[in-house]
Amino acid sequence: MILALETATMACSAALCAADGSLVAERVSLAGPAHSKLLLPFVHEVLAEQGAGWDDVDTVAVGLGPGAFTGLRIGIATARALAQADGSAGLAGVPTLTALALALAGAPEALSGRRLVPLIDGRRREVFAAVFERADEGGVRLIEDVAVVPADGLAAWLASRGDVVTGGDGAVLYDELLPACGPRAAGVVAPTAAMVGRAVACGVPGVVRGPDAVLPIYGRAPDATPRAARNGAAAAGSPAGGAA
Amino acid sequence: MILAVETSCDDTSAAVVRGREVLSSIVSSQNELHAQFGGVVPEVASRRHTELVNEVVAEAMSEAGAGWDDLSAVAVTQGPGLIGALLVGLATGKSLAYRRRLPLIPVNHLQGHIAANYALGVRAPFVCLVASGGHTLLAVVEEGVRYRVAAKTMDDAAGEAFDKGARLLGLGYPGGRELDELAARGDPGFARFPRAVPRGRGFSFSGLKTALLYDLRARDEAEIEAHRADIAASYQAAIVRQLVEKTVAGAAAEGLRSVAVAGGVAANSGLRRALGEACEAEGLQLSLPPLSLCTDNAGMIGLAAGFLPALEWPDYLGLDAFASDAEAKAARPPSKRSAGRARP
Ligand SMILES: [Zn+2]
Repeated sequence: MILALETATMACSAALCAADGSLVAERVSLAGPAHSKLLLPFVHEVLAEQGAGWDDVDTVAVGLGPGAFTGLRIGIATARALAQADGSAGLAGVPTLTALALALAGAPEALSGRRLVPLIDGRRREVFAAVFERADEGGVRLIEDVAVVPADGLAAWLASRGDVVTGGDGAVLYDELLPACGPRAAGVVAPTAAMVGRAVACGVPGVVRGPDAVLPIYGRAPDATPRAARNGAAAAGSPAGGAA
Repeated sequence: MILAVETSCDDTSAAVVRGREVLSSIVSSQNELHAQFGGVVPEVASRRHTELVNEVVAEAMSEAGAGWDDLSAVAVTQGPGLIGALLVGLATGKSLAYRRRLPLIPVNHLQGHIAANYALGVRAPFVCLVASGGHTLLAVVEEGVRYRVAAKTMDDAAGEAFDKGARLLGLGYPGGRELDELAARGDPGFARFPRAVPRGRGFSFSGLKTALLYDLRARDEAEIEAHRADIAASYQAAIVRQLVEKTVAGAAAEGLRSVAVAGGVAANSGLRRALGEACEAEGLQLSLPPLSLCTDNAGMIGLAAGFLPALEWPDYLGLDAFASDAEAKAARPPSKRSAGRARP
């Protein structure tokens, strides 16, 4: 079975999926950023509910983002450490936008020919977006990789991508800005661990394996300016105090 | 054996500790990474912890010759520190412990610093000067790592005073260390900084920083250039004087003959020398941990864990980190009843 985690957005979830990607058990909280408090209890609950032991888990899978940095890292650090301490379970990651796209492909709003555009809230009135289309055998194909789109430019950005179906927490948040060129999938409100487990099981493009590759996709550089790029080193503030 | 993980600031560290013996302590410093920003950037630190922590854990285990089945518990820094950085270590520590069905011991970072002295065989009660970039206090350690605060800083931390002084002097990063190296070549009597140690039992460093600013303003560029080491030595001596006098006075007030130091500032060579001399003159016994145990390291977290209660598997799964001691209460682990039950 696949133990899947997803923490890139305000949604925090853990799921057990069968080898074919079908959902066995899941816990989801949409309540907000309490991932440190919720994630491992969720893992414990889905395992306990199925009477599953670690011998039953052959892969630990996690959504790689982009999303909110701190939550994203909690999920990825958790997945990495579980796999490390397990020793025999594999570690896999999938871009969260790809997992969402696969969920969009199965949504009733995703009529054939419509492009799949998952949207994740990037805060600061920006969204992370990517464009997919349906591939054979129920998979998805990436057409346009992660872009950071300002909310105010979202309608125009989407309009230039043709007939689309959107979904994800970014689509819910900016629902009123979405143009008439395509519906929002009502059932795809946030990325969840079940979507991650299914994406890894289906082997969608972008799935990576092993600790060297299962690392966050931030989609954005940290807010910090190297000294050399600033005028005058005297202005350099130490945000957190240096030593130990 | 206890596996310890520490990621509260900009060092990624893991250690294996047996009782009061540090079997391995791996520290992957991010100094070079943050030097380009002139200070620790929390988001940059958190990203680096995520990349490094598992490798550092593996290295600590292998250097100690420890396998997973040799461990009796996992210890991890819960706070205080940079919240995003702490959460990477906490998620890692909790997950390692959970998968191995081990108890978890959450450790307060300051208690970790204090516990470093147990590697040297110090015995409680003792007074401990805890000085770093984020903290400056005089702790009366009553037993194990339980302490009461006898004095604390009223403004900046000592490490901040060093870093800000280094910046005023145009030195590189990390400022405290550069200042220390420069001061070693200078005359501490060159520039006059306020001699008076603040009244009462608190530390205060912001006045010294202002005095340095005015001292530099009063000199021309050529004079500063010629006497940078002397000014650095004078400034460092003023900070050190306050730390030493308060520590010695604190020991006397508490009637304790045993003195210890902890925290990154305890790596300062001027402080180590002056405190050594003062304690010798006063007949106090001084515990001066090696530099590797003064700056942030997981070895000290493992040492502290030996004095702290463990949370049994799986009661710690909902444990959260805390950025400041004030938040510590809110981050208490969930009760046994709420763990393992479905949440809305
Ligand atoms: Zn520290």
